[in-house]
Amino acid sequence: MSKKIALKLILFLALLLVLDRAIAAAISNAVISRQYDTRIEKIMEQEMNYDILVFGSSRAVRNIRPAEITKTTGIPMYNLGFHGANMDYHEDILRLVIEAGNKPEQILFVVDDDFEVIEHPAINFRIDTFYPFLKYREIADIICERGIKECIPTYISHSYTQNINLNEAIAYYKEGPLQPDALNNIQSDGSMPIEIKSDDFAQMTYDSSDRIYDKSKESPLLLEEFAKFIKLCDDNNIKLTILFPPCYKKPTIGFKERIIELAGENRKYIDFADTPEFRKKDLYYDQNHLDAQNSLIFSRRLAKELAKD
Amino acid sequence: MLFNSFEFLIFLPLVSIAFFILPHRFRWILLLIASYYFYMYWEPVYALLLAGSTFLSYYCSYRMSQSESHRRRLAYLYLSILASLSILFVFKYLNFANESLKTLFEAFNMGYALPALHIILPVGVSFYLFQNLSYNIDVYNKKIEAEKHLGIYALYISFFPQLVAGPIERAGNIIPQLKEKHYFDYKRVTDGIKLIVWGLFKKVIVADRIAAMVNEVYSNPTGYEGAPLILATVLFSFQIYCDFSGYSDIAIGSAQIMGINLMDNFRRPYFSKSISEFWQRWHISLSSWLKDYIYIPLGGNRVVKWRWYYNLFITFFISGLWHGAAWTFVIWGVLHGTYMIAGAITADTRARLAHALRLHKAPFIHKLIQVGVTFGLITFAWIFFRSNSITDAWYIVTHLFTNFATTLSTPLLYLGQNGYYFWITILAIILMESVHLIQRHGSIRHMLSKQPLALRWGVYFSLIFSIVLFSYTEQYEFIYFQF
Repeated sequence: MSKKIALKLILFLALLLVLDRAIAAAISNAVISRQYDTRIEKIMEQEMNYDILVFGSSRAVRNIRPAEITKTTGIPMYNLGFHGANMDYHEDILRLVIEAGNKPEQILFVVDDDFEVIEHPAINFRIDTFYPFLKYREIADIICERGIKECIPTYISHSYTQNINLNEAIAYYKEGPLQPDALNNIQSDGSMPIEIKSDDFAQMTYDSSDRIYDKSKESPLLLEEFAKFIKLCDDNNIKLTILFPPCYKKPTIGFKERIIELAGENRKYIDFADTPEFRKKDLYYDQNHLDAQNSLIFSRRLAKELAKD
Repeated sequence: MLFNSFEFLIFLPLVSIAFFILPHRFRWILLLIASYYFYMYWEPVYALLLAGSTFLSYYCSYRMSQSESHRRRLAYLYLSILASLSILFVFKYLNFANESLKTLFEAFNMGYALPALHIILPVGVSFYLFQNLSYNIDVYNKKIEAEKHLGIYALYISFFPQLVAGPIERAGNIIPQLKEKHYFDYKRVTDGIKLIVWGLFKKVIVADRIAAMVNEVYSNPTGYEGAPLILATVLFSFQIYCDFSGYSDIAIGSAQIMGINLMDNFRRPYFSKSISEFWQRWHISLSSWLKDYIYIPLGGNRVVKWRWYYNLFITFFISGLWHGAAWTFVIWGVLHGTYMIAGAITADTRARLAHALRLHKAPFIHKLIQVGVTFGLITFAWIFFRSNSITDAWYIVTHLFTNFATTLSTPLLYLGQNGYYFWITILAIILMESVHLIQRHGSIRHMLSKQPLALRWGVYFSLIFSIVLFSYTEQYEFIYFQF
């Protein structure tokens, strides 16, 4: 191959690399700017410097107001609950926090009655929350592990990594950032309280049926992820406190016992699942979530429990 | 290994570099090993079938070449044909025949005991067995000499760029090229790479994006009526063209890098002015194979009219059957046979009508009408090709114009996708057809090579980044892999 051809090839590849990085950066900046929930970015930027972190699904992120708890206890606290997220997801988030060097003193883990380790259509691995933050290698690795992208090309082409965000990036340049609404309004403490009542609130009644927890429906994957979550806490000397949040329904019989069996007796368990003070309809947005005002009240109540340590 | 996969992006350069580094006498070994590795990436065990059928075909032709006895040569020809067709029947048509017989027996309230067998269709079997057959027939007819070198013959059959989805190459074209010494040629190599990139654009940007929309409708046709059905069918016309011609471009470009020239498989088929012309431009390697080994031996058009029409019908019936073991493919093939016959019967009438309408004074309009009608007929036939069942196809055919005006609403026409997705796909189709229009005046790659460096590189970067950025995240297998 002549020198001229070799030089042309090198220049072509160099330009290709530069363009690749530039396009990827433009997409990444746009898609991150579009988000109102940038908690994952905070994790990756090592800004998750709190003593207590809250984990769980929507019952965590809606019901727990860390700022309110910090007012009472003085303990820095932040909410890393993500609605619709399963055990597999919580484990990945915790691992990212630890690897970023921000392991907390304590984790307050809010369990879902009764599908914490049972597959449920509303709960899954919230991979969509990771897409905007693909510029971080650790996030790209999670995406690759899930088979969404081929791994080696993500090392070579950043544009390939970011192509999944292209529509959102275009939307940002057209419409600007996503606007929070009554259901999606991230607070500075990571919580997302709900200011409104659900559409069927008027017809909502207390569910007093006797539901028995069925171990045969448990998912081996979610059981494994639960065990990994516990182990991550133990291996990193993180105190794990498990919270059974208030719901406008009778707790599933046997669920609490099963969670204790899985997590171990030597943990702190805080049970608000069936307390009389939270058995009033007006406290709730729907059967599983308190409304904004009452999440504050609950958080003050919870602060007293946490302060007992 | 898919052509649009990262593995192939590594595989092709490695093989090409090794090809040019190795002395010529070892290159066939490299290509043979690479080709079998490429094939075994799907299902290793089926490489035995490939090897076995290759050896049998080689053996039969070798024995034919050793014998002067006509009867003995014919016997070996029959043996090779029987073996190839038997393999094809067992792996591709046995369950279809079984199911069809079962349906027939049940229609007469008779019991039918034979169960369906769980047989996986080996990828590329229809293609490489047709290459075996064409070779054996050509040797029998003394059009070519039997290849004495088993390795070279095995490479002709298994050559990875065209192994699994064509072009269906003739031994007379490929074997001499495999024996020839090829040198690294910068222009030839870069031209091959450009063709690969263009093929990837058609496959990844156009075909795969359309696939998501077409699948939305064709997986549940009864959920749609009117304009979405028409749109999905028209889009499928572009999907199958881009999928298959994109594959062919990648195959031709890959072979070109190493100095092997594969035949053109597509020549802007949707610009055809008649069905007859369409079949000279669409899947050229298959249509020429059917012409040479089915249509002409039956007598072609050098027979009385009814026999000519019969020959056309049989040829297209076989074409339909070749495409798939399902009645929808047979109907598709028969439909095209019917088009050809109707075209032959009405040729004079159409010419007189065109003259009466003075279309000869407006050749552009005349051509537009011819291209439009031909495209319409082809697209209509694709309904059967794409549908999952005859019931689905019939539903689509009978609901194409149901509530047409009310189904013209934009959200429905996005066929399950959002606006961005839809319009990017349409833009890609327009870009592709613009390139086809330019190509009427010559090779666009040749035209591009005469442009300034900045413009050329701008085009290359645009193509590469559009493939990287706009490719749909879900990977679809090439449509013709199922044949």
